[in-house]
Amino acid sequence: MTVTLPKPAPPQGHPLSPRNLWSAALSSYVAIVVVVLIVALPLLWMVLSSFKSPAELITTTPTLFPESFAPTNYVEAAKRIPLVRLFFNSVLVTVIGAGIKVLLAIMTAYALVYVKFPFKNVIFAGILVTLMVPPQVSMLPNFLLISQLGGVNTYWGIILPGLGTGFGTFLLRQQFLSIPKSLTEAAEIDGAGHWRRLWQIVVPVSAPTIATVALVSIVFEWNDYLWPLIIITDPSMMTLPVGLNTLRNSEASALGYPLLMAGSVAIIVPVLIVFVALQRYIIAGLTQGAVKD
Amino acid sequence: MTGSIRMPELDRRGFLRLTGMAGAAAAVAACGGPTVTAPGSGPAAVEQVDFTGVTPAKTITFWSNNPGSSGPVTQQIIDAYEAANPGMKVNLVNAGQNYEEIAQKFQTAQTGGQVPDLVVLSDVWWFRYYMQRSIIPLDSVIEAVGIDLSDYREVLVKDYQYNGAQWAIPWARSTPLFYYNKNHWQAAGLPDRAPTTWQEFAEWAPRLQAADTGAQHAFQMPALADYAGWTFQNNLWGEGGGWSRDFEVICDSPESVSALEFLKQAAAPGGWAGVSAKDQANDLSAGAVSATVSSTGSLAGVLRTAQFPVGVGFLPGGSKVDKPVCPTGGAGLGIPKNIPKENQLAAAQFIKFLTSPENCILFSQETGYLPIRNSANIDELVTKTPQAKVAIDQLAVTRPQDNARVFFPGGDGEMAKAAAKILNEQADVTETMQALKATLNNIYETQVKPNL
Repeated sequence: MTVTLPKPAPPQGHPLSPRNLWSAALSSYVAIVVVVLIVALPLLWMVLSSFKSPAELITTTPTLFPESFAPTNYVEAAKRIPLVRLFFNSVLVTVIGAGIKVLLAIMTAYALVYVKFPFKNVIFAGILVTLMVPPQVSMLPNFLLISQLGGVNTYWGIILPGLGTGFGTFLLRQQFLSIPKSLTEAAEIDGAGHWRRLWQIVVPVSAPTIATVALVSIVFEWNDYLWPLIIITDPSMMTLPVGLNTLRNSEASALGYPLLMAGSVAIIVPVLIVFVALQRYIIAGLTQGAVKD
Repeated sequence: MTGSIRMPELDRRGFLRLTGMAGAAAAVAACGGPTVTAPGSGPAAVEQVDFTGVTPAKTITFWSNNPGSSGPVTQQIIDAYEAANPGMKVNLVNAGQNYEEIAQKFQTAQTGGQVPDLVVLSDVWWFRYYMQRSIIPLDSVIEAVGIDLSDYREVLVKDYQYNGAQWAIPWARSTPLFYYNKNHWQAAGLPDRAPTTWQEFAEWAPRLQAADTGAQHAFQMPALADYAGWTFQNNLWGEGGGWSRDFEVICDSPESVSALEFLKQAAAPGGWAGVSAKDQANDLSAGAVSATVSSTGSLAGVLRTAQFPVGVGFLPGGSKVDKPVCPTGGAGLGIPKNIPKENQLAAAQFIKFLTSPENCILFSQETGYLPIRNSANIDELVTKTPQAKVAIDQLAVTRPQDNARVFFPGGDGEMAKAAAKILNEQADVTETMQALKATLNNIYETQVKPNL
């Protein structure tokens, strides 16, 4: 009787063997490169187009690189709109608006999770309903109210209507619910009140989610166009998206494209910097609360 | 904050009343778009403003969407005005990127009392403001500041007349033009001119497509959202049809249906025409198409971006009507009602300067819009831009637009939707036009008739 022994498994190749490198490249790196290209190429195109003339952009045979890297469009854009002033306005509105928005979301979410009060679930349902209402619906009532309060052409007039964030409150509530009860109970036994529990336990543990809410708020405030367009009539009070609009027009759009690209670079670069700075937290924040203990 | 923005006082009772209004406004907004005004609230006779003894304000706010990339040239004229009138200040505000956006902003401003002193009114919006009573009749203020209306091109001035009064002053005025790529024309062996009729162009189109030009289509129909209601009047009139005749909607007449069938066949798969997704002038400039119809306001942009000789011509006629088949278009300047007389007078003074013969030529040179003054010396303009002469000459064969487009709120948008169904979806023309007629008649009955 012949006994057939199982063949020993072939020895693992060196981690850097061509076969392993090839399979690793195919399984992950190629996909990463493709995704990066999808995201990066439009940005690269925008940056390169900001140096082109209208004739270089409006053509059936476009070239990747401009004929010249002279900053003509940046100079012209800065001449047409007060970029520095608009940048300052946008930074101010974004920092204050997003800051207060995140702060309110943190405190509201904390109250919804840790503070006992009647109709808590009804209030939370009401907050969720705000996510289903298109912002355009509230545009006219907001304008009526803010203009009657004297908020036209003011920073607070731009900021005030957007301070409540249903999305941020919802996300943070879900995150706070996932924090082990033992953490807050231990603090309570040690004599910590709501205020200390919030800032010394709940907030540090939830930093990634808070960073996510902060980023979403920052990007929203930075890019908001319609509300500032309506509430601001003084050119010196305009935010970047509204000011940038003066660089493009109906009936002669071709002439505005290179200037628009130059202005867009000025708008997008700061947001990219913020995103890069916070990306570690964002990735963690988006996955936090996904697994129940 | 500019001196011309007025803030109403707000007491406790006013605040409570306002919050109630805000709630009601939210409910209304959730139900649908705004109507022109409450049916039956239209006043009868036009009441002119008395400017006797009024001193013009020192600062005014001018809302513009800077049509045709006119921001820099408008600012240049403002600087000259301020230099010539020490102590006077004009704040130019970019109030949107197109006529629709500036209109929405102006509409919203009415509700909060934050209106400008001077505003750009497009051809499809000024009548809405007349019906809302949110702009003033200009006759008395024209007299007060000494504007000579007889020196403005009559056909353009008449566009803003209604109920025995003048409601706006022409400014960024345009007509559609037939633009073509001369190199493509030459390659196809065509005469260096625009076709006299659309039927002639239909004969030329196969030659353009057969020529090795690299163009996707012989002709590019305009971007429907902005242009269909306006430029297709040319095609409709050429066949003896139209969107309307006075206030009677005739878009489903055999003549109108015939004109749109012609366009439908041209845009059908394998046909000689494409439909622009965004901007037909850019499609032409890029060399992607051999010809298109676009505004005179696109002229400066096309000439600066096209890397080939550009030809322009009158709009082609049709099989029934040769001329006039060209609609007027563009925008004028209006003065809002709910501002102090001092600001209204100052706005009119600035209009006088902005539309002076010298400034209207400067404006035309920079944008391609028509010189609106008869006394304007067009020699320099024509020397610099010979194509501009075609646009000026075409003014003699223009005709006012159909009421359904310029007087019916939202009519232009409905026309664009119907055109999209026909050209992009190849829908049945008769059915689509019957549905459009029903919609336009409803707009007339509910929003126009009660306010005339």
